[in-house]
Amino acid sequence: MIQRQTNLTANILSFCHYLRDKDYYIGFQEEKECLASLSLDPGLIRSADLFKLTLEICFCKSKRDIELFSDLFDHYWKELERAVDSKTKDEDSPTEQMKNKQSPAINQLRSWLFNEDNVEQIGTASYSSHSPNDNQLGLSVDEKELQEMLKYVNSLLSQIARKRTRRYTDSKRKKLINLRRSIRKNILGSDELLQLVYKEKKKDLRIVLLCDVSKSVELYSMFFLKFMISLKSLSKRVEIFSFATSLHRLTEEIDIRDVNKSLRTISRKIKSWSGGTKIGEALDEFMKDYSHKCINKNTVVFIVSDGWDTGAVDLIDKNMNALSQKCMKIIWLNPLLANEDWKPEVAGMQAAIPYIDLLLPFHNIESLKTMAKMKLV
Amino acid sequence: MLNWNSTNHVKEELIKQEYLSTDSIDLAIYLSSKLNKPLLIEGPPGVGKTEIAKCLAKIAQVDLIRLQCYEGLGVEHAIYEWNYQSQLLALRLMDSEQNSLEEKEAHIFSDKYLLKRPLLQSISSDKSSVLLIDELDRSDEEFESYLLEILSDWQISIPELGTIKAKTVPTVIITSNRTRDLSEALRRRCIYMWIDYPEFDKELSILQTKMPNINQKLAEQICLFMKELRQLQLKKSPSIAESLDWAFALSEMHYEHLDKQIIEDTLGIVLKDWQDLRDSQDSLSELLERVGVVQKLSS
Repeated sequence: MIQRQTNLTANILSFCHYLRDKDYYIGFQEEKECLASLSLDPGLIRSADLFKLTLEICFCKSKRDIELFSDLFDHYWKELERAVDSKTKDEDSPTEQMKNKQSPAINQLRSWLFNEDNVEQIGTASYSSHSPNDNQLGLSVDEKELQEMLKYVNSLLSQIARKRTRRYTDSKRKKLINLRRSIRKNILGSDELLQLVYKEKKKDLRIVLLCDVSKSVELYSMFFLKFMISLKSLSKRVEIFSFATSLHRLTEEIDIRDVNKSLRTISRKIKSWSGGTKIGEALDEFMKDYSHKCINKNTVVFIVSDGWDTGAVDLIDKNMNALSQKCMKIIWLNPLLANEDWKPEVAGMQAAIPYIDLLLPFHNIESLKTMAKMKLV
Repeated sequence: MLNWNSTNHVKEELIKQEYLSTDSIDLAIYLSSKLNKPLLIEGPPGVGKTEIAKCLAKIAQVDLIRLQCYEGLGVEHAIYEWNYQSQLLALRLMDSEQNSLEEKEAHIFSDKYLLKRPLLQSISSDKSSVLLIDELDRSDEEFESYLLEILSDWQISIPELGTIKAKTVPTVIITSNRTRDLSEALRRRCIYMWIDYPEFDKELSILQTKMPNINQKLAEQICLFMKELRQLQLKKSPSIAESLDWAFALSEMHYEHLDKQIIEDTLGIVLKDWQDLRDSQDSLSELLERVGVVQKLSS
């Protein structure tokens, strides 16, 4: 339950509080700009559509914000209007009632902005903390579990980051002069260093995660999803893909501010969820379409799969070979490895093993905890 | 420079430049101008993000200064750079003169040896301009941080010269294709706008505005086909730019309507990915039949 005052400042502030609860980044600056924008042109207040659009432009800073805004706006202002209507019903004359009936909240904003002598009304509006779509959730993530996962993924990333070399690499950016190479370059010319060579520190390692979402790993799919979200939350240099019978890039679908929405989006996007597995074909697609963008000698590739495969084994061999040559390290995380008797008997796994740098179990939070303590790169 | 009276004024001026906008585009341009804030435009490639900057420059009759971003873009290519070779030469020439070290330093670190790159150019110019920072998502986060000072305070700090404040505040348009998320700090300094693929009617109007002589039936069929094509799971969905290219090509070849053969022959203009091309060609008949385009085309 929230209470609000129905003067303009309080209206805007209250709506901003409401949006902030929905993970909108709104500060004093945005509130100020919104009020300034509304006072620019009377038309922005008179038209309900323009009023909504103005608030949207002032408060939305991403595509996700825009997508949610319309529902949130309608929901909030509907509640607001109800509260004002119930108040004005007793006090206003019939004419005033008619005047305020269409959009009381907007009328009050208008009166405040244009100094009309309209007495401010006070009302109480209530709203549910759940967004309209929350009821439709089939998937959800336990916050506590996710926090635990984040803790271990953070340790894992720290382990990887520690590998960062202190050496410099050549750079196009003119920040640090590589004196040795500059002297060598100018050695045949004059005694002046006319042409300079620059260097910079090597960048953080890049991570690529290729995650199996086929039927054979269905049991672990929630665990894998949480791993994806944790990686995206903690590292900016991560690319995430899922595969079953085809490959999907999920990096953009994961919104770290709205984990449950990310899950819904991912489940919608992946058509082959819990279907068969074609690792070779998926790797082939990855190498053709994404490897030039995501893979270099600074990349650690995580492949999460049990190795069960119904596709072409020679494609696995070919693409794992190519991948191992392009990236720094391939770490294969296999949930079946938890079983001590497990042997890489399936064809897919056998084809991949020669190119894997590390093969580790990955089936629960304990396995992640163990992995986080290991020296991975 | 851009003194808008209302959102309608924005719309009218954009129409004069043959840019058909939506209410949200008009309002975003109006507010960014009035609040003196950069306009951050996101959306899929080819929907007209860059075109907005070009139109604004034409409307205001000022220069369009464009900074094309890429991975590894740094201060020296975006803001300023000292002309090192000229500085060396100047020092050599000054050897014979009796100048003090301070005087020499002041001379070689003066405006004469400063190479102004787009960002510095736009804020140090006496004339106002439209600054287009194109595809910012391609640059590194480090570069985004450099932008923060410019976008919030309209000034650039050069260690050897001090802080250069903007003589005229440029109209700044930033575009991004969302290959990576831009920082919250940058977003908060901008008015945000998302441009999506246009609806059928809008796309038809765009075709007719840009190509007044196009056959009405052909234009409708192109827009309808594009709309259906965008529903498919393609790696790179065709945008307005592709629609225009396709319409132009078909008009040049004097086609008055679409049929399967024409589509197959010219699909390369619309789809720019080999996999997309193969997938769509394989299922073209099915696609046309399913979406009812075949009946429309043959009628």
